[in-house]
Amino acid sequence: MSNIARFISPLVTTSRQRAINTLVSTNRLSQRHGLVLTEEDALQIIDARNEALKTMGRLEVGFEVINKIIRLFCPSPYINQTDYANTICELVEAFYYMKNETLEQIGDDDLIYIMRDLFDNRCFGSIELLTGRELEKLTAQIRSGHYYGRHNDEEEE
Amino acid sequence: MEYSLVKQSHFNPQNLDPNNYLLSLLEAAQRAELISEGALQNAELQITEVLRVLIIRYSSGESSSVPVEIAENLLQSILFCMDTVCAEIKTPADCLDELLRRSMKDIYEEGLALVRSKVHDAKRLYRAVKGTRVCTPLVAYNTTIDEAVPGFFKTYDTAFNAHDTTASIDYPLAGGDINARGVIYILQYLERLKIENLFCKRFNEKDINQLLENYGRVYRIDYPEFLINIFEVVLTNSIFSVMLGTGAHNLAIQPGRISRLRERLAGLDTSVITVNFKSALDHVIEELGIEDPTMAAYVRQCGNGLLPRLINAVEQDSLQQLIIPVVTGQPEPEILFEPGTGMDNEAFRVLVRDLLGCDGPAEKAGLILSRVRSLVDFFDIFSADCLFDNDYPVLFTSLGNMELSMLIRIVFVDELRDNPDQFSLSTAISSAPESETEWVNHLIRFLSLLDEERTQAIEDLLQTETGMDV
Repeated sequence: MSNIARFISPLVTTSRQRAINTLVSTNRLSQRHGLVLTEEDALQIIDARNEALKTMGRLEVGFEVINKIIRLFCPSPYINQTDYANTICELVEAFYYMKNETLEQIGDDDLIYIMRDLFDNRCFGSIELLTGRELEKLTAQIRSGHYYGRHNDEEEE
Repeated sequence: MEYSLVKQSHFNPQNLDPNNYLLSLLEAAQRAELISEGALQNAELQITEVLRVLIIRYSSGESSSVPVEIAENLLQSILFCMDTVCAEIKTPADCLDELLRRSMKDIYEEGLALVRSKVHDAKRLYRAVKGTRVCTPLVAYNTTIDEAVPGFFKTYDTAFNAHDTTASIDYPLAGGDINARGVIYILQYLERLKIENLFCKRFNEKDINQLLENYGRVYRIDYPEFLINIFEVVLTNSIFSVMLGTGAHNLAIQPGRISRLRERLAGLDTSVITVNFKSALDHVIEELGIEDPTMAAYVRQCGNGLLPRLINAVEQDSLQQLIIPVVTGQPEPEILFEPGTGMDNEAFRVLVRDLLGCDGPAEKAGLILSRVRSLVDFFDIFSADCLFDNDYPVLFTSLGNMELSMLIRIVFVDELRDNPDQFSLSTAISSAPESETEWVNHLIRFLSLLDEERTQAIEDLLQTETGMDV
């Protein structure tokens, strides 16, 4: 239906400058961990997010997910300034991929928390292991009905 | 204050899409320059905001993203609720006035409440339909009332899927298709079904079921399994009964009377037939005491739908297929062959033994018809060396057109496959070479002796798909 696009596009087209400002504002928290995003980094992440949503056939209301990913991942000892923006881009892609693969059964906050836990404690900072092994395991657990939710909220900020 | 212009403008756009009313109305208003492009965009942005809130509610606040298809579906649900409000407003101008006066959120919320109240109305109506139902073995009618409609109420989701009409409603109504969605569809369906039920209630239920049975015998179908509209069959015979002077309540029409009516109508001009028919329809409404204007209009609308069929039937000399006559005598065998009901080996051996012990062809044919229910068993009988030359014609005579068409499909499988539209049974029979299979030669000989009318009837069956997957 041709009507759909014109209602949906305002939902996905947040003003670029506002989005950049939102991401750069996370520096207040991340710089405590030695991580800073430039405006250029922010743009790169925004593009990665938009591309991931398009590829995964999803539509997002607002811009909260990236904020949440940054806030939860910036304390990770396995992320350093050199690959900070790239890592966030890959985490954002993995996040939307998982939203589809987990059949909408995990809320945003829970999924980000699980990803962080696996990233630090099982993959020791390897994004390849996270996406290629751990998240696939999680998907299989959910699809076979053996996922019982997360149990530990200690590290959430 | 653009809306003040609306009422003065005699704004009355045509061709608004009833299933996309609000948006088509706003677009028409913009084309008519009653609202600016900015106002249109503002309305759309407000709807987007409603969608945003609904997406969050849909994911119970736990997810800020959803698959695009879900978002599209939620938007359809929103627009359906808003259209439901619009449908209650008399004119497009009044509706536009209302849309411009109020916020889209407000209209959506009113629409949602309205849809919910319509679900209650539909449930009330459903109880009325159940209370007026016709007691009949018609499967589609019964499953629609007992399963499909309650199933709709169980799964209908006003909040997120209000436009959806997922329900296995098989029973066809006489009044044609319903161009509506969601609960509006169900409401309209039930309203019509109630009218049809109340109409049928004016007749003796036994007469209705006898008429349906005759219908099945005329068309050689197992009628309870077919999608037949009871009301239409009843109305048809009632109208023709009036035309024959036997009264609207009478559904049993003797074949001889149909012949007389055919003779009476044969030479008449179409306009005279039309007058006669409409007058009969008026009589039906009067004689059955139909005073409710909605029911009278529905009966008239459906009755008038029969007129072209009557004119065609007079022209084609096929009135006997439009009016269902009383069928006397023993019921013809129902379709002999059923899928997946083959005999076990022991039962088959007993049948062959009994056939060999029969006194004559008629007894053999009777035995086969009473015991064989599978086409495979039927063919096995042919190869069991228990039938003689004079048995075949008697056996084939006892088969109906449907069974014969099944055998023909086997014999002429190549011809039917290669050129199904051009297939001519008489040509196929006349050009069939002598077969090595005994029963095939007997069948072709039998078919070559059938009259033209029956050959044509079998050929018609060969052109259909029904029951042909043998």
